[in-house]
Amino acid sequence: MDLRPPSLRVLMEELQKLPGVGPRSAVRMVQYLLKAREEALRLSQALAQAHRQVGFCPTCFLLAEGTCAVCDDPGRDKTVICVVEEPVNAWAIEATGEFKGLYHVLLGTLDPLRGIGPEELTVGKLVERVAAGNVEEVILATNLTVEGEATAHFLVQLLRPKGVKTSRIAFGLPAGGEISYADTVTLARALVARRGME
Amino acid sequence: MILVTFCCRNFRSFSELSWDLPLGLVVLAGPNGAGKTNLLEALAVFGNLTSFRPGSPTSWVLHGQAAFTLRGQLQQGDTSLVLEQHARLGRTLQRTLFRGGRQVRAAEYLPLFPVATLASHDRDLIFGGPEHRRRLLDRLAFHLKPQVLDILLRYRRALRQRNAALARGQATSLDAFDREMAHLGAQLVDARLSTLRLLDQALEEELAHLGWLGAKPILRYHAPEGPAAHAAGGEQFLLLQLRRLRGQELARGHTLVGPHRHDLGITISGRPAREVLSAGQAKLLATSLRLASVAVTAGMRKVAPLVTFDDVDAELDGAVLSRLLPRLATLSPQVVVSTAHPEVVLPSCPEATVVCVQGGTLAESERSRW
Ligand SMILES: Nc1ncnc2c1ncn2[C@@H]1O[C@H](COP(=O)(O)OP(=O)(O)O)[C@@H](O)[C@H]1O
Ligand SMILES: [Mg+2]
Ligand SMILES: [Zn+2]
Repeated sequence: MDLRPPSLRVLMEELQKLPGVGPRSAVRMVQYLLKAREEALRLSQALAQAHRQVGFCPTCFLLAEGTCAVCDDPGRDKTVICVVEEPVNAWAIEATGEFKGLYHVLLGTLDPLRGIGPEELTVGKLVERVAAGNVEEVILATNLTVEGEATAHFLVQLLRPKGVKTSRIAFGLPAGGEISYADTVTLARALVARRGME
Repeated sequence: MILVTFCCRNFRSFSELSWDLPLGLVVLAGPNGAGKTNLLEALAVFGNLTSFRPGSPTSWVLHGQAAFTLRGQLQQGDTSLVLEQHARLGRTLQRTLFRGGRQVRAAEYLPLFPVATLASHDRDLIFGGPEHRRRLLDRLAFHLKPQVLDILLRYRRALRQRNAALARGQATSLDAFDREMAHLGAQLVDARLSTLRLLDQALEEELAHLGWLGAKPILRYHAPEGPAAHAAGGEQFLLLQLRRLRGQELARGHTLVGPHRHDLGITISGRPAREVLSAGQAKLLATSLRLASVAVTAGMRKVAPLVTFDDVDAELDGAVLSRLLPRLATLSPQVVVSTAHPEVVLPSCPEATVVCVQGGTLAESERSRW
């Protein structure tokens, strides 16, 4: 007989949908959340608030409440845009402290197997930003996976006629090529040693 | 590395087996159905994660069981290492790999204990499609340079993506994946060519050891796009060809250019080997190719890989066996061959240890019994 009341069963099912959470950690989480009622309440409020208020920055598609802190900061170098696949990749690059320009999040890569082409990404907005002038260099910091590389090639072809310099973060990143898995020092080095890409 | 002890649980017909392997040549003897091939397959799966016998990996699990384990203790000088493989039956076979108790990825596991597997269907190297010869080259390339695995996997991924783009008629994505395919394709071709040079040299020697008569087989890398695909600047050339054939590819829905369509051509006096060789000669040449790749691997590593040869006496006559078995024993410190006819095989290898396979167990046997 399943001894869990229905609402706990639902909660555990939801928790198990989270990455890295299996049945056993779900049990531990539920046990903890029921004891620490205050914290459970704060968690549920934080979650609801995040969902209500967080969206994509309309310019660069970082996660933000309205316009993002980078786009809002007058001190950032507006002549350089660093293109990444997902917001978390931008977080990793920001953590290096090496990059003072703006970001652009594609929200994915070219991925024909999943039916994802340029129209499903934020490529149009990137072209718009570059065409608006001011931008001198676009750093392509998509992952070093097959799809990330192909997307970088695609963007070079797209942006070169617009008279902007394109560069690619240097190699030496970890196996699998996900930039978020790289340690800060490696990533900083990859940024500094970026190379022009034809 | 030397395999000192090999244990398997619930692999094919073996529910529980622990085997202290002798050094040198081992002859596995037993009637048909005794489990000889199963045991060699267990060794292959342990070292290579794949079998030489075609079929689904799910059939490796002992019927009625849901999991198997393979475990081996390796030794080289004073260092010893335990490798372990756990496999669980689901829709596919889910595997977890351990090196010295630490879980590792396949790319880290695979170079540690390669097993060279020879078997009667090696004749596919001569009579079969190009995929058999590509696999020979790619495997060997990987053992010489482990980074080749990454190139190969990325190339396959790029190919799948490109074929998907072709099927959907997405021209912009095609351009992007063309670059990646040409880039990885050229690296793969390079790796194959340097492997082929070594294989070619070694083949001559192995043919001599096995007593090859007649004209020398010539190995040549073959790319349907033309020889420029494997010259310097191959990347640019592949890229151009991808562009040139785009129309045809869109019509057919798959990629027509690249190393996934290349071949290792084998000719004798200017004619394809498959047209001029008898079954016996083809088997001899195929075996020499396998031996050559063992010799090349051995030259690169401190210790040659474990060699297995299933049904060693099938299609090879006594005269060839009497050259082959001593040669195998010189090439590698550990060789395991199987036969249902030990009386045919044993005269060619007076030093061998005989092990009888019967009912899921092994027993060392007196040679005089045969
Ligand atoms: N997954 C399995 N579970 C149990 N028995 C198996 C399994 N796969 C094969 N076998 C049995 O193993 C035997 C064949 O063993 P094999 O190694 O091919 O014999 P041989 O000594 O002739 O090479 C057959 O009797 C077959 O039923
Ligand atoms: Mg057999
Ligand atoms: Zn922004």
